[in-house]
Amino acid sequence: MTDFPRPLVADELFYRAIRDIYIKEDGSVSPGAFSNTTGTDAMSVDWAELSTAAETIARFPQWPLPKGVVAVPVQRFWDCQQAIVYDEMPTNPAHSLVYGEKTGSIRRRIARGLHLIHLVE
Amino acid sequence: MLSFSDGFIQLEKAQPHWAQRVKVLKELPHGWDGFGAAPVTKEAVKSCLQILSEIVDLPHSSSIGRKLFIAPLPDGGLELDWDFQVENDLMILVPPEGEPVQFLQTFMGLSGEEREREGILDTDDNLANLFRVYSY
Repeated sequence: MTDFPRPLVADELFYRAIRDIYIKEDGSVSPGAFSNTTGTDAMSVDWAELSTAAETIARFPQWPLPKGVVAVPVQRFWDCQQAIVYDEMPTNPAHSLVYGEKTGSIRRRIARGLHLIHLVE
Repeated sequence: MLSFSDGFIQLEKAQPHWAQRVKVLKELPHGWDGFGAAPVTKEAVKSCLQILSEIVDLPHSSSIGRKLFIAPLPDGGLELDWDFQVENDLMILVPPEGEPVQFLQTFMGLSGEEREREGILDTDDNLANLFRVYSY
């Protein structure tokens, strides 16, 4: 993990790949989609500076459910006391981690008003 | 508490689309989120069925049901959430062990500020009281 190549600004976006099981009928996203990865205290996102939504979803495994991607403004994470760390990987230069406890309250605040932007059946 | 099969059969009769959703969630395989998530536990499903069976008996249950979304959590628990109006939400969290079930209410205070209230279901509150603050 390293610092981001440049300072983040409040309105830039991070893509979060999710399962379709978190997508509601109106395209909004369930808070559960913003849980930490099992056994860790962070969740994965891609920095939109170095990835498109289509690239993010293409890297996400297809099995066992359809998948989608949602864009989250970085300010949303900061407002929820989450820390974003750049975690470049050989196969994914945009990979970043959102550290912090994801209580129900925090998940709800992250999810509020966000909508699916791309779905792969 | 209802047995697992009794709870499921009752729910299928009263709210078949809820039962169908629970069935889908309880059959998720290990790693369903792409990051090693646990399957939804039988205890969480049983507790969820109990909650849903109580909701069926509430006034306005059909309106409440239309706004319900049930989602899996990577630890094997379940999350029930409702968006009633802008910034008026209710979330019920069922842990993998099935209990204690937590609730989180969000609503507008008298001066327009967003307020949150959380607790343990059946200790700090019960289902009927939780839904009383919302309009449908």
